[in-house]
Amino acid sequence: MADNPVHFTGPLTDAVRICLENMAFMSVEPPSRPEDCRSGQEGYSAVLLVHDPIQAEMQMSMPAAVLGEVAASIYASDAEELTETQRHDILAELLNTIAGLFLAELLPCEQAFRMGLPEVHKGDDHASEPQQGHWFFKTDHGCFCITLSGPGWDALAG
Amino acid sequence: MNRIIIADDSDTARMFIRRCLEIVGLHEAEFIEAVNGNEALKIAKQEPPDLLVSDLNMPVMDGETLLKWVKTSPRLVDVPVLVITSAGNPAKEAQLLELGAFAVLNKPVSPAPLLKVLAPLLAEDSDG
Repeated sequence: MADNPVHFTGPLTDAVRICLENMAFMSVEPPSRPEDCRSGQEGYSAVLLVHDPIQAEMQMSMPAAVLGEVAASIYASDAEELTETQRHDILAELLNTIAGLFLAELLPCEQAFRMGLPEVHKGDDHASEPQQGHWFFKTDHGCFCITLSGPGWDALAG
Repeated sequence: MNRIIIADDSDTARMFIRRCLEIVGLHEAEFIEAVNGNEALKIAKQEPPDLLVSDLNMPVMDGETLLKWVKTSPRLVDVPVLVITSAGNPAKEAQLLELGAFAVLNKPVSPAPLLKVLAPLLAEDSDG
């Protein structure tokens, strides 16, 4: 966490909090010990490309158990009743919403932006570009991670 | 408002928007869901809705194109289009309002801002 560009931390944390609190009624905090979040549990990753005004990549990785609890909260049902398709869709929509909030916070208000459609994969790490950093977040059910990749983010640095 | 079309490629987003619309008092409306702008346009042409809620970023036909089609179709021009998007900021909002959107809200949507923008339509309903 110490190596993460600090100018992204505040806007990203705000975006994650707003999204999870509104959609899943869950409180989210950066963990006091990020190293504890590197669990290696089986999980899912959603990847979203930012097309304009920068070209960059954002990824959200979440262990299956955490995604199950988030999904259950959003759909107000038991985690076991949710299909794989629903879980994928929820992760994609969470990333889509977080990315929009994050970019809206970072960019000047007169600057429109354009994003691609999120893609969900099974597994943890599909970032294809050099990474800017990993940001971990903790819920009552476990941790998840957001990764910013690609040199495009440099244009928004401070 | 009896007939509401919700266009979004995400099942989760459609469910969430529908839930918020029900909370603000539209629990008796008929909700028709579409997974992209093209599907929403086809449904709207068959029978114009009282409200069209649309995402922007969708495959096949995006929400901005859908808005342009609705606002240039004599049969649909009066349908209020509420855009709910994750790619919203003041610049985009101004552009969409210029194209004829009734209102623009950012995701994640919640009942309070939804109620605020829909108040004029809900008032028309209760008057009529």
